[in-house]
Amino acid sequence: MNIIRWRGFLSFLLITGLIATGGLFFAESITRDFLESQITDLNGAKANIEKVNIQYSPFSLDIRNIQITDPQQPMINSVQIDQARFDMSLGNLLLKKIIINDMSISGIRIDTPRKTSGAIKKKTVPATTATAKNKEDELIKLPEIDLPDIKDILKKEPLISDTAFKSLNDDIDATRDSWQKTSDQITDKARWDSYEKRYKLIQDNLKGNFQQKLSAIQDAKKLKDDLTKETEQIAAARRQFNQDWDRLETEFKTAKDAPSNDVKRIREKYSIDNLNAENISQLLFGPQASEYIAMAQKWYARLKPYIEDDEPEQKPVERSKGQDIRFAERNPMPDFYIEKASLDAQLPRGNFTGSITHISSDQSINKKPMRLLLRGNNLKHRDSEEITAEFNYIDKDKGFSLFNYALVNYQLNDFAISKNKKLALSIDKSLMDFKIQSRLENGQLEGTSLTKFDAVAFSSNKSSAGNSMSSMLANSFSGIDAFNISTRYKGSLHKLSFKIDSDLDNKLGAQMKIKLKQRVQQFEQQLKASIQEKYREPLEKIEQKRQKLNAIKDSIDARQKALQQRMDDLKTKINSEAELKKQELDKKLDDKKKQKVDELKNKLLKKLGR
Amino acid sequence: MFSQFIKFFRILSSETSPMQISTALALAMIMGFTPLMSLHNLLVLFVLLIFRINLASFLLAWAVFSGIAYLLDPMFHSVGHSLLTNKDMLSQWTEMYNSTFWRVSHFNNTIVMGSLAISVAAFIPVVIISNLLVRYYRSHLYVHFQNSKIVRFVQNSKLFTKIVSMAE
Repeated sequence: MNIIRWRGFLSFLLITGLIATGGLFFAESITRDFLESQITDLNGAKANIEKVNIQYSPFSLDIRNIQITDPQQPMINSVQIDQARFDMSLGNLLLKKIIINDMSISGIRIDTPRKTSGAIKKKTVPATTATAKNKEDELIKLPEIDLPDIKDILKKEPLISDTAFKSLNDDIDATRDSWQKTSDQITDKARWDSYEKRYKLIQDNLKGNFQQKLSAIQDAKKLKDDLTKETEQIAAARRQFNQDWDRLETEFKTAKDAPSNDVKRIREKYSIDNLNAENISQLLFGPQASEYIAMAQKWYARLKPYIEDDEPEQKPVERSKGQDIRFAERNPMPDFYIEKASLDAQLPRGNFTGSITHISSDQSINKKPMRLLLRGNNLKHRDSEEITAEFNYIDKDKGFSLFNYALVNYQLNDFAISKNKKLALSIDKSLMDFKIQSRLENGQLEGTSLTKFDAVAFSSNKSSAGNSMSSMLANSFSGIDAFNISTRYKGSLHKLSFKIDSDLDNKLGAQMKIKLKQRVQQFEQQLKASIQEKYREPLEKIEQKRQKLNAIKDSIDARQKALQQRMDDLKTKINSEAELKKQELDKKLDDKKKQKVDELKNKLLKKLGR
Repeated sequence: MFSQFIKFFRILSSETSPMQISTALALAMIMGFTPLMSLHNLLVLFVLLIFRINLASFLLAWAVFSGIAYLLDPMFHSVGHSLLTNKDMLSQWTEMYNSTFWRVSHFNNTIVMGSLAISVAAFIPVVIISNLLVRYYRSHLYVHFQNSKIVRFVQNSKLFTKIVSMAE
């Protein structure tokens, strides 16, 4: 029997042949779909590829018309690339590694319109434009150039003084009512008249016979007990009065200080403290800097998915899938690596060419940092423009990114440097050099920038003849033809603090600074006076009420004093009557004793017969 | 599946060489135990098609061994892991790992390595044992089996006739 099954052999060849041919035939569309889905997942919005051509010897991919949607604007492509060509290693591709020896990307354009929306349903795109705007607002709190109107402030601002005066007034009224009630109770005329009558009766009885005197003493004791109770009541009321008085004094002090506190608060709210010539550059260029930071944040968010290191997650061993054991490689390569990518971008400002080297999914394997160099050619309105960047994550714990940008001799026309409503300042014409250096490490960005302006011609929306502060500022700028701005920034990408310095501050002149300072001081004094004037009358009324309260307190004090006197008097009378009575009794006893002794003496003499 | 069983029993009773059946079972074991999309299974398929090996037996056994493989996965992983982490074999594995061919074979996966090692080790014993069993069935069990009341009852039933006709 023939053990070879020739029909089987032919079937094997046929099956493998069909699979191979099908693979080759559909490889391009499979690759296109795969790339589109991968980029879409990374980007968060649709990515479209028109065509993919695969060549097998040497193995290369040629991708045409890549459109990557801006997730925030689905009808705009954040990047569109006419052609991307990749020379790859097929062997590594079989090992699921994308190793690109040479990559060239040409016809890069940004923010191009799309024919169809590139939004994807599964992810809701956060409204980062609005968020960025909000964040921008948070970055710096800018004061207005001109001081606010005091009348407006007093109209719309809730003042601490209002609350303090109302609270004090209410408390004084309530306390006065309570005191009056207590006072009325203490100084009840009928009761005190009865005490007076009883006192007089006691006095009359004391002049009478023995029985009357005895009754007077008993009445005096009762009256003394009643008056002691009255004294205790008055003392309790006095203690309450003292407590109320202390509280009212504290509230009175708060109300009296409230206008000053209001001035302080308004000064902080309207950033009036910042309004001085020392930080005029922060004031003018702050919003512009915020805009650039927001733009940088937007671009960082776009690039983040591509430059962030994908840390492989330690997954548990899945049943039926096992675990891949890794061994030492002679030429270790990360799962994704591009040795060199040449770039050619056509931007509205001119053509940019450059390269990115060593793009890697894991720099700790290939041990080389990713570097970017982009230079402008045939540029419009500038001599040169260059971007260099380094993303060094070879040591993952000490990874950092560097970014440098330099612009030379940029012809600036109609450049708005301040969009502040009160003082819109712009440069009509100037030559500008700009340099920026940044370092991002552990989520913290730090950097500096320097902008030099030469042959400057300013223009403003304010007439220099005006008397307002903005006019004063606008006038000061007219004599300046060159200045520098340097910025230092530090912090996390979402909460960046920055300081802007400029020689403009010096150039604006000492007089300008003094005038500004005087204006601010004057404003503060006026504001304080206005608030104090507003509360002058209520304060006077409160003062009157305080005096009335004081009168009640004095009347209680007088009552307490009179009562004490009457008590002392009563006590003296009782004591003196008791003393007299004692003396009378003693005398009577002595007389009786003497009489008895005499009787006994006479009886004894009689018995003795004398 | 049931028709596959009927076919298998017919083949067992037919004049098909026991070696063809036992080789089919052993090859089915390799393909059933190891992950299907592995490079070595191309070789199994090649051997299966080019040599006179019983395909019906292979298909039935493949289904059975695939089911068993699911239960044996933890053991395959454990065997594969101990083999791949064996220090004495490290240089060999490293050498293979640096070869594109071996990397494509996915030998460094614990399940692939474990299941392949076990099925290759069991290949010859399975061939020999199944060969002996087929022979023993034909010479001793077949007559008793055919004459048993249950088999007769099943063979005479309408359902069985229907299934047989469908299988044919």
